[in-house]
Amino acid sequence: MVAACQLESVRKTYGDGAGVVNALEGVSLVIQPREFTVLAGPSGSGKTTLLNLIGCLDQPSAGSVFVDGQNTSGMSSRQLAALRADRIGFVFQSFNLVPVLTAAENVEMALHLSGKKWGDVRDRARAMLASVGLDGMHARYPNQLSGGQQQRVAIARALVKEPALVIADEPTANLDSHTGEEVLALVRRLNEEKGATFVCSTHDAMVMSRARRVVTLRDGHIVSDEERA
Amino acid sequence: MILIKLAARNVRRNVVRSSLSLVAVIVGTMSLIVGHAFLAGLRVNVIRSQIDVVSGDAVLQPLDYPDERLTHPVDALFTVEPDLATWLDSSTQAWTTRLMFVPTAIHGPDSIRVRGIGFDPARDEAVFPRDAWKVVGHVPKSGAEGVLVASSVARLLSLHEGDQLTMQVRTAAGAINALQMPVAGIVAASNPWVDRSAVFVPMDLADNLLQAHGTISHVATRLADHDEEAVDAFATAFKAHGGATREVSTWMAQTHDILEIDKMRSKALNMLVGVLMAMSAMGIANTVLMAAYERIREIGTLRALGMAESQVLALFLTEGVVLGVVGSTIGCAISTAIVMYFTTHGIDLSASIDRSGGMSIPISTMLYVAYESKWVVLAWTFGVGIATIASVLPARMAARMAPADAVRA
Amino acid sequence: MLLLRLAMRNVRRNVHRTVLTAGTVVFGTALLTVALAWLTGVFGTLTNTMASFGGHARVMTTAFAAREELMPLSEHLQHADDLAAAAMKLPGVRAAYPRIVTGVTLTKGDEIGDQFGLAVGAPIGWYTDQLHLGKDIVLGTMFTGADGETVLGRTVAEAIHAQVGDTIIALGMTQDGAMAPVKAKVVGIASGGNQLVDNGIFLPLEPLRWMADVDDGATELLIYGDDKTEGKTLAAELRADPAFSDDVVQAWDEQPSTAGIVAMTGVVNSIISSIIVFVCALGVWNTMMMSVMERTREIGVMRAMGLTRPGTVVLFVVEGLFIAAIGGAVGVALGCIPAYALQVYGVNLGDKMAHSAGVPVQSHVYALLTVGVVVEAFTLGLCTALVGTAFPAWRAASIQPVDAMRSR
Repeated sequence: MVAACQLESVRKTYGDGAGVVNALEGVSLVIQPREFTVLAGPSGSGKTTLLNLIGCLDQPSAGSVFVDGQNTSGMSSRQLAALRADRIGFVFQSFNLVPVLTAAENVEMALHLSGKKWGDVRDRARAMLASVGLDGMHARYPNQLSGGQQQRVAIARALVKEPALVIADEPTANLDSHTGEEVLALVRRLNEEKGATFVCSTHDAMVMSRARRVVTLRDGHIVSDEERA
Repeated sequence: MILIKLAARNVRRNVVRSSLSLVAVIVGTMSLIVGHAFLAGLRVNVIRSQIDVVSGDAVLQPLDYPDERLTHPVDALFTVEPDLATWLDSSTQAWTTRLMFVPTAIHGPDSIRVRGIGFDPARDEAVFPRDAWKVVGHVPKSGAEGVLVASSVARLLSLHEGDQLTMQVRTAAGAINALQMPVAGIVAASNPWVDRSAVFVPMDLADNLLQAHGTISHVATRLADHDEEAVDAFATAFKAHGGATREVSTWMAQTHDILEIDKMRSKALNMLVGVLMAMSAMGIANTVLMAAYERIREIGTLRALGMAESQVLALFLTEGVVLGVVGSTIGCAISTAIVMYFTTHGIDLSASIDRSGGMSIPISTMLYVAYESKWVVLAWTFGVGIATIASVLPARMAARMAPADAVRA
Repeated sequence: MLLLRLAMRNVRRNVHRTVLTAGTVVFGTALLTVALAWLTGVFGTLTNTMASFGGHARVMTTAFAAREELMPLSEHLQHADDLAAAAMKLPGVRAAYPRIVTGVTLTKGDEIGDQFGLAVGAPIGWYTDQLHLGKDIVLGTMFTGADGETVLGRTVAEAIHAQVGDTIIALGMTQDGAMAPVKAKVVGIASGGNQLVDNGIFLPLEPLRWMADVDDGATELLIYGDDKTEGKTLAAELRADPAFSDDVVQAWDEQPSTAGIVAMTGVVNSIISSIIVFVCALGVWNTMMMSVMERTREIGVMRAMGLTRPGTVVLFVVEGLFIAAIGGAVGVALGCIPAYALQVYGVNLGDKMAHSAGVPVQSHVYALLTVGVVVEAFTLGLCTALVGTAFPAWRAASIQPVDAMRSR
């Protein structure tokens, strides 16, 4: 089986000359399909850099990153964009919905951008919204939705194109604990029902407690990688 | 589809800013269309006045006839030979003779130099229509009835219908001659060339005054077709009858100098429009750039969702183009309405002609603007084009933002 | 003070954007400098010509004014020299000249000609000090003071084929309507590039007085102060003086033909300026609005710390003004280059254009870069900042501390 994501001794440095910052120093990691992985670690440990690399928003300084079996090193920005559009879904800390598009249109947007043919885009988007519990809210604009609802739209947007990998950057950080738990429950359910692969960075102990696998980073190194039941 | 929808909604997002940019485009397109409509109207006016009031379509006149203001020498008058008359009858719609001179008109203590127009009462109206004339009294049919005086001349000399006017001239032979003649009527022709200075004298009386013995200074013609080529062709044929002492002048030649000035005005207008458009371009560039700055995070999201650089470029370019299309369309619509209104409702120029010192130029005091669709097409294309070009740079800037930075900005 | 310092620092904060804002103002003020210099040059020459030819203020009899177009000699000012002396006693009057302008037919040699022209008869001082005819002489010389001299405009001279040294006869009328000739030798031919000089037949005052048979009269009295802007003041003084109580006094810009041009100058000026200011203000508005959005949180914090609404407005307006001041200075400096080029080289409109205009336009037109132009362009540049910053500043002031804390 092809790994959803595989990193081989990846290094990432920022800046040059005297001011070089080593964000990641030789990280290797394999994430299998259907996994629910949490990246943990204090601020500055390299979580965000790692997510950027996995999400193909950035490229490593050394080492290689495979996403869905494809080596991303040497890819042009156009190829990276196509890869993101097809194979990767994103959920952000501050939702990042397009404010002038309705909930349904935000979801449709992801389908339009992916290279595949999806048949009836509108129906598919609505069905996806229904499955994240937003039945009947498809015509609302982001500012007419609560934070939790917005994050559900973002999750729908990430999953609608059946990606190999969903990157979630602190998905519960901007939500109260109750809503956060609901959203996390949704993510877990989708992980199990639809078999979606999640990589999630967080500070939230509640999120870590729900994860099957917790990878902890510190100063650009993986310091622990534990499976939980 | 969704990209266009997104771009259109983005335009509506900051209504005040977008509408201010629109105003800039609207002003630019409007000044192009309305300005050129007025210039075209002026051009048509000048040509119509030349044909209908001064020279007809083509005129036969003495060699080297001067075209300065109020200068009509009478030292090279000529006659219309029978075969010329026969030819004119067959090749024109109408023709007439005129005897132009510059007498001093005297009434009581006052005197003023005027434009004496000796005209053939039977034929003149067929070449020089009198639709716009307002006559108090009547147009004389013969010298015995007297003369027709233009309104400004009558006012300056305090002349009324029935008064006696003295006209003093140098005759064709160079002697000084003066005659007293009654005022048969006073005419207002809505054309300063006539109104400021003309005195119409029936041909027999003019002949007597100038001792011209049947000679005249002009043969003016009216053709069925005012088209430049048709008039030129006629003029060439006409020239064969001129001999060595007479020349043919067409309305094109007569209006050439004035139309040259018109071309300069046109250039000046284009320059002004250019500046206006440059400023609208700046406004649009700025609007698109600010839209990009404002939406850095959103661009990042779209890029993370897999939007290609070219699509982001297209998104912002579309926003600029939408501004251009909407602005140009509104500008074109408003100016077409304005132009259409003034094509049927003339603008009265008489006040401004009086203010500018009362030149006796051949132009109708009612200006009807001329609608030319090419300017609308040009203005629209130009407006949209400018908006597109102006959005390219900021749109490229937006497209080039690194997604990883943009998404968390 | 701290507020001002903060505003200054904010200017440096987002250099890219500040440059953009300043760039808009630079472009606007540069354009304004060129446009204003050009308009000042064009209209300035025009009005200067009119004011120097027609007097800063002009006196004529009521009857003459009523029928000015006929220029009736019989309605002349009697004892014009005494009137000139009386005018000279008034404060502000620097010079007063009696003048006669009348239509004549002009001919070279003895034959009676048919070239019509306007003969001007005025003291030699008027030609040298006001009309500055000396600089327009293209052939021959100015009046030397000898009897029987004339200077002809180029157009007139060409029409009768007159050359320097020829004798011409101007046939005019006396005030009673009898014909009267004046004979004069052409000492110079003048071309000033405008109709007034090119069509002129210039003579000393005495020969025309003799021709018109008006003793020491004149059709008009031209009054000059230090500058043409004093026209209205001079006219008011003259009207108040009993010596001129029966006469009509007009400042140069009160005459119908010139008043139209002066009014047009103002309209053209303000239309062009306001368009430029509008578009630049749009640019400033855009960028300043961005600043406000971006700093919502910061403003909220400061509001929470007790920054007043007016304080917030000042913060942004000062920032805008500061950028505009720098942009304006650069813009004026940049604009001065093309404006100065236009001032030195000018644009040739051609004689046709100049002669067919109803007003005495020079065929070669130059821009005029004055301190006034620079100050006006710079001030308008600051205005764009004020106009452009007003709304964003107001928006910033309406930010509530609570809103700001909630924002990202």
